[in-house]
Amino acid sequence: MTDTPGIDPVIEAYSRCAGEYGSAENQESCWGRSSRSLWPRLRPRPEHRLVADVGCGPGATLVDLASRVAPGTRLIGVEPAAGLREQALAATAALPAVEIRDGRFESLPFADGEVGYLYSLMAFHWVADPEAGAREVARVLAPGGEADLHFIGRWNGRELIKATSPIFLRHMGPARLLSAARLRRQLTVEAARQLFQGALPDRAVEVDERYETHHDTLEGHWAWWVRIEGQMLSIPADRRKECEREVRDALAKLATPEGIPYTLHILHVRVGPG
Amino acid sequence: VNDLIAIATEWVRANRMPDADPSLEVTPTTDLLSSGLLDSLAFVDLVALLEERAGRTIDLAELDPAVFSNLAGLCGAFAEGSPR
Repeated sequence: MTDTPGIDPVIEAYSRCAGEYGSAENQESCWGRSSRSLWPRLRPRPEHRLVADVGCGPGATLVDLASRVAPGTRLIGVEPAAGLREQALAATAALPAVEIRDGRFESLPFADGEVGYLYSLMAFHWVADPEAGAREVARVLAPGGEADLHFIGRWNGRELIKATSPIFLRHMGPARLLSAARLRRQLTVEAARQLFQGALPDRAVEVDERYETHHDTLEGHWAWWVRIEGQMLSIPADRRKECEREVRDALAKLATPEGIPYTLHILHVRVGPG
Repeated sequence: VNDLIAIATEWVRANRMPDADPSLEVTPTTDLLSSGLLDSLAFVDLVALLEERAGRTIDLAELDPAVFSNLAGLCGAFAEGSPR
């Protein structure tokens, strides 16, 4: 992980691991299952002529949605990680209604009031500047536009965090541990409500939260967790192997007859026309 | 340093993780991370608070993890830190 000024380490990490993103292990992990469970909850209407997926990743949601939007609807995926954009382009190549653009929440590639329906799955917690991200959502939404944002909240993954934070502190030291923590903007439901209601004062904004506990094998968790969060942690190369061994031991100790639990804390921001 | 420890203790009591063992007490030598009283996101806020209240900064890269994770060590480091 680099700390080069001007390079977003989150985007860099996601771009680097793009090849593994679509793996069966990731798709069947708690993240993959939870994301797919949200697809039916996305609600584009026939009057939404432009639908935006912000943080579209490899484009799987766009492929699903393309089959159920009204004819003539344009679907635009926005993804800052070049490696994932390439995957999204490949996945949607046969879908003429879909376009993939470079961009991020803080600088959405849309004109003012252009987007009829904006959605985002498991991405907003990576924004570098949540206030700017919320302002951009407000800017691009059409007067009658709607939005659904689902992202992880402050109390996500407590089981694994409690078990592994002391290990990471020992191997990384305080400076790297806090640098990694600062990459995530995990909001409480109250903070998310204040953020979006403040940015969209003339809209109907509802924010709710829910918890989903998933159980998986050690290898199942390892498949997604090390690939995504582990890469954010900048573990020195000479300590990585020992750190990973200790982390695996710590996760194994969490096992129950159902598997190793991981509780997702998911926030849902729903923006109505107002 | 005792003033800083008092400020930090009050903050930790108010911001302890909701799933932390309710019987755990916050003392200057409690390991806040391994006890589950705080996580790394909360430590970001605690360090910012101590910087502001101490008027000093510390070099986290040079700090021993065992010193960092309890209030006696962390507040002691801030008491001896560089003026902001």
